Amino acid sequence: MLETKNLTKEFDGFRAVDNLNFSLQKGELRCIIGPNGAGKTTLFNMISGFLKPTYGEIIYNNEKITRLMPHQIAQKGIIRKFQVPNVYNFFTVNDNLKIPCQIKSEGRILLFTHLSVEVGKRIEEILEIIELKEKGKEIAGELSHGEMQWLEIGMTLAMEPSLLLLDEPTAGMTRDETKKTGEIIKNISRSTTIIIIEHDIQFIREISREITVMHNGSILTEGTLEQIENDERVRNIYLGKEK
Amino acid sequence: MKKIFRNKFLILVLIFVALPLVLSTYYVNMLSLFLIMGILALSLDLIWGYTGILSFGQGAFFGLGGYVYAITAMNLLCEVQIRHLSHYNVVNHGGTTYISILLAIIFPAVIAMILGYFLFYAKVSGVYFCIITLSLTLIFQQIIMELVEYQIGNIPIGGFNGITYVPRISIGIPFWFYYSLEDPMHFYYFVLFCTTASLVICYAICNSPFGSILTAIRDNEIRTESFGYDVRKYKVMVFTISGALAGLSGLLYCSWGSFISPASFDFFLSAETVIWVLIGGKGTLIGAFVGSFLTQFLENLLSDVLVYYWLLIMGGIFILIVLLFPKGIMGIIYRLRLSIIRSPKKQ
Repeated sequence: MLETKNLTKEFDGFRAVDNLNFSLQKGELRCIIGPNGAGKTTLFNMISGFLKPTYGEIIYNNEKITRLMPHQIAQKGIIRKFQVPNVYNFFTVNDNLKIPCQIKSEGRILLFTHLSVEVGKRIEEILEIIELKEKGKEIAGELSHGEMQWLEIGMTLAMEPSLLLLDEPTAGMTRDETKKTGEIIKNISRSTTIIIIEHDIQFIREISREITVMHNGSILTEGTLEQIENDERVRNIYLGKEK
Repeated sequence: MKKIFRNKFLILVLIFVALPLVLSTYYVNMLSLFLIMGILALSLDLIWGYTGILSFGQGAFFGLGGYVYAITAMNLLCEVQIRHLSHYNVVNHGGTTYISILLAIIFPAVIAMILGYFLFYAKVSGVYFCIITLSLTLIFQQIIMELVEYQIGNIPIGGFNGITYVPRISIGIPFWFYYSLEDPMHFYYFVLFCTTASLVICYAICNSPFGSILTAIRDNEIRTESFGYDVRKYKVMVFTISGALAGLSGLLYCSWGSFISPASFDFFLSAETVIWVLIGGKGTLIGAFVGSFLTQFLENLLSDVLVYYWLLIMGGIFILIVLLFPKGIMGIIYRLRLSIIRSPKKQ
């Protein structure tokens, strides 16, 4: 479904992503782990079109998407959640969800007309999934950190994505919140392909089957959690080499 | 909420309809000018307050509207006048000025669209957009100043002296019945009509899904883009609308003073417009009018009373408002209203 070929991104000579060959099947729930600076977020930025690769290709459903604009990639169904909660701080929760719900009827927006009741129904559905039903009328900027994360996940869901990119969805969450996030993500993964960048091994254990380990801009190893945990190289990059 | 707005808005319009009945001709004229400048402020509020793009180019569209109106109205009316002379039906300005009005709105809008296309599709934003639009305003002004010898049709552009004896707007049914709005009070009502129409249109735009995308772009452009919205398209559209509004304001101004010159749309006009919007309250639409009214009214009043010090006092007031009430006068009103609504609950 998604494939990168020799994907490379250089920042002033520094290779953040180096000859990356990554592939993903439809329906997968893939975790990407790796130490800071391994190039995970840069990879997301390139897939979602915010950064253009120095060279290499990104292929999605047999189609090159390397040079497309972010909004064109989003229209192909690749939706992204950012690392820091990236919601509309001055909007209410409902209005936040309205923006992604409206994209399907963009033609009507451009004619300044009002939208059907379906949008309202869809918002209700999503509020139920992310369990924020009582908070629909609150200002998004006043939500707790965890709730903001869920809201953003909900917003990406509203797009009905075919590929969801989640950048550290549990960052800064409490234990309970992380658990709830795990359940939400498991729910979503039944219908959507998901890639998650994550640091929390506990969380990965709960949700993921396949794991990719990145280091210095390329893939170190891939496999199940057990294989990864027993891999000496992975331990070395996280804990440092034994002398 | 919509009903409350509608009622209040109606009352406001009625007050403005009644005002000329109690005011002297001088103040009716002044009121027209304030409303005209209010439309200019509205055009800036649409693009700055709602979409978050600060444009110093509104002055240029204002001037463009004025010049297009002056040149087309004088050219077209001359011909009509000649035709009517043969019927011994001499009117000050024969025929209506609908074509000039339309052209003076469409032309700046088209220029804004072309400009917006190149600027927004090149991802120019923030301070760079301010600087580019500012310099374009100055370039346009300079070009007009240099065009002393040239004339379009029968009308010389006049360089620094501008164009004088621009006819008033004339309405009616072409070649049959027309009425030139020479009477300040009639002109005032026409301006009031334009003002109300543009406010209602802007209000409708901002409260439609289109408007919610505009505020979404202002609040978080990257998020909006990654939801699949081509933000550049929306920016070009709103810039076009705002250019049309500035053009409308310019043509009304030109018709109001029957005069347009490069000095009518200098840098200070663009800067003043920003101040009006700031004082009135960004992103409130009606605030643009509140700001432009209050500032111009105070200017008029203070420059009469304190001939030397009024600028100092105005400056002081601006700084105080921006420092103490960053959301402007409408911000104060909203806050007062909120505290009134909330206070009975606490008891």
